[in-house]
Amino acid sequence: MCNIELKLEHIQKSYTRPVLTDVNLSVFNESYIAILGKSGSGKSTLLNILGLVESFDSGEYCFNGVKIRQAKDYAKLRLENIGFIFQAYNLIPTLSCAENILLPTLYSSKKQRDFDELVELLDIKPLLEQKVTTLSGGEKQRVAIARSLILDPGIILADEPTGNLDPYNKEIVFDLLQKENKRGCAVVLITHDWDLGNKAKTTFVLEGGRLIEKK
Amino acid sequence: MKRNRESSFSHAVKMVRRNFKSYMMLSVTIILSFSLLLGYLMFVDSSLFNDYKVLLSCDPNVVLAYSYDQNGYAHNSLSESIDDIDSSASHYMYYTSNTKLMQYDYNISAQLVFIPMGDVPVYQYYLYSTDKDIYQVAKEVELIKGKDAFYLLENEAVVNESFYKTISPQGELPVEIDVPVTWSDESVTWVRLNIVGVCKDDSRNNIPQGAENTMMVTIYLSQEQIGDKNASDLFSLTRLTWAYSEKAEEIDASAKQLGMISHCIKDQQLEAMVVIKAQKATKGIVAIILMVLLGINLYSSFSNALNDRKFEIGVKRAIGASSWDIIRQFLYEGLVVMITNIVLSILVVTNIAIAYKAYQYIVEDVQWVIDISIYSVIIFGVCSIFLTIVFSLLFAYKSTRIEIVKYLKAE
Ligand SMILES: Nc1ncnc2c1ncn2[C@@H]1O[C@H](COP(=O)(O)OP(=O)(O)OP(=O)(O)O)[C@@H](O)[C@H]1O
Ligand SMILES: [Mg+2]
Repeated sequence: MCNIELKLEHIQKSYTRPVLTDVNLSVFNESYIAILGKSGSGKSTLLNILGLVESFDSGEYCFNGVKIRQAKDYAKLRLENIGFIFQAYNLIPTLSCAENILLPTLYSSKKQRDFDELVELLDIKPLLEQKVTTLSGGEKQRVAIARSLILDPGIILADEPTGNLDPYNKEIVFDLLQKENKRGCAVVLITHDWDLGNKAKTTFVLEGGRLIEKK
Repeated sequence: MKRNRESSFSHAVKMVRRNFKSYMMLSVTIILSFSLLLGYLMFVDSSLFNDYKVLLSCDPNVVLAYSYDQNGYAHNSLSESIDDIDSSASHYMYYTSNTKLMQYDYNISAQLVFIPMGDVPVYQYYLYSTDKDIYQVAKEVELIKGKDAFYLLENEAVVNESFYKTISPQGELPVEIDVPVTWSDESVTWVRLNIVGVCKDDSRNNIPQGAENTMMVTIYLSQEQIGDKNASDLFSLTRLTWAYSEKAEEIDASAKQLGMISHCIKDQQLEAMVVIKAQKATKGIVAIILMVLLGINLYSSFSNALNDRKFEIGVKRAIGASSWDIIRQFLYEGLVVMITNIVLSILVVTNIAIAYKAYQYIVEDVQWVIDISIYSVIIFGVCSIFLTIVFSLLFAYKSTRIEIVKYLKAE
């Protein structure tokens, strides 16, 4: 588990119109942050900026002491520090479940988590050689989570990970996130689900391009 | 369960197989284009080679000069100048004369070729034509039965194959025949000859159209048969000087100066080489045109293949693959696809060539020698390597132009 210390200050981002106007946020290993907000308020945009897959227009973003500059690719930081979980799973359909899970190890020599243990944890053993297109939503999300955890990231960024799941699977995912957080892995979670949001250590609402903390 | 880390090359190979569908059209394009190019090169080379194979297989050092002059002054002078030009040259003179063999049902025209005594190579003209030109070539007469050299004793002779079949259906040797030698005063001397050898038919032994009861015969016999008479007394005498020298062109020129009809293989071969060289330029141009067409095709095919993969690239980048990782994957994929298909196209063309040979063998009774020149191999190699490198690089480069987020936000 690597150390995580993220700091966003006055982040601005606009497309055709401003989406984020002044976002300030700090994330550490023990953080468990939920972000709520209306559709289109810019939650995914913020998470993508946090996850170094999207650039921002102005402000300052410090990732483990590295000052993030625009138009520069931080693939290695992404690879070894961040685990992405998406609402749409984003599994590669031409690869089997096991291949999808192990994909990050193709690019990194970082020590990976024990594969079997991870499979056990997520209860996906019977699915490993199956084509991902034939999986149910809950199964897909568990495979996707296994992929995000394989390199033992310091922070999990989850964009509506339970959006397409039934209450039972929701529970599993939520438990997992909690477990990981207890191990010392930061979690930033986007959700529409107030229940889930309220279980986080810190809850923010993104409104008018700003994060407002909910007490 | 132990899982080894996958190498990036084997990952690329796997992705090619998994994306077989999107590579299908691309593969068809590559195989078709490279087959077309290789097929064209091979066809041109083979047809050139088969056009000129008789000429180019002739010994370039042979000169054959003949004249109809009765007393043979020209040949005597030529003999002297050959010795002047190249003292190590070997040269012989032999005579040919026509006669008729009347004792058969056919109307047989025979050409008698009187060769000097000794182990002398005997040469003969062939007329042979390519699409555009008719060449005279001199080929050594090929013995197929009996003696293995033209060392003829006084009463021995060699005849051509089809005549031999009519005089000796059983196929035994020697066979005795009586042959008339006709003199210029139309008197005839009958000589009895032992047929001790059989040689291949040549173009003169072919029966002319509409003369099916005619047979053209060549009988090689020793000059001793002329006996006490003069060669110049032979009916329809032709003298033939055969020379073998490294300085064939000079001997040829000197024969022509003496008013003789002379054929120098070297000259004709050089002429043929000019034709073959001219084809090289055409081949180069065709190769370039095909390459440009293929290039345009490949560009769009690779773009299509890449379009199908945008999601995959987006995901890989998002989870942390660097653009170099992606470049490398698509570079490998491009290389694998190109090389596989080029190898396939080589197999396709070789198989077609073999099938074509089989067709020729069954239907046309002649078979091409399939030939490809070094030059064509180089053209094909350069095209293959150039296109492989360019498009693999381009493919790899284009793969990094993909925005990560664009393909992830969409559900
Ligand atoms: N690439 C883009 N180009 C232009 N506009 C964009 C782009 N990406 C996002 N937007 C706009 O930015 C705004 C925020 O988008 P974002 O996806 O962050 O919303 P969200 O809060 O995640 O919504 P949801 O809850 O529906 O997922 C939206 O109005 C969207 O239309
Ligand atoms: Mg969103």
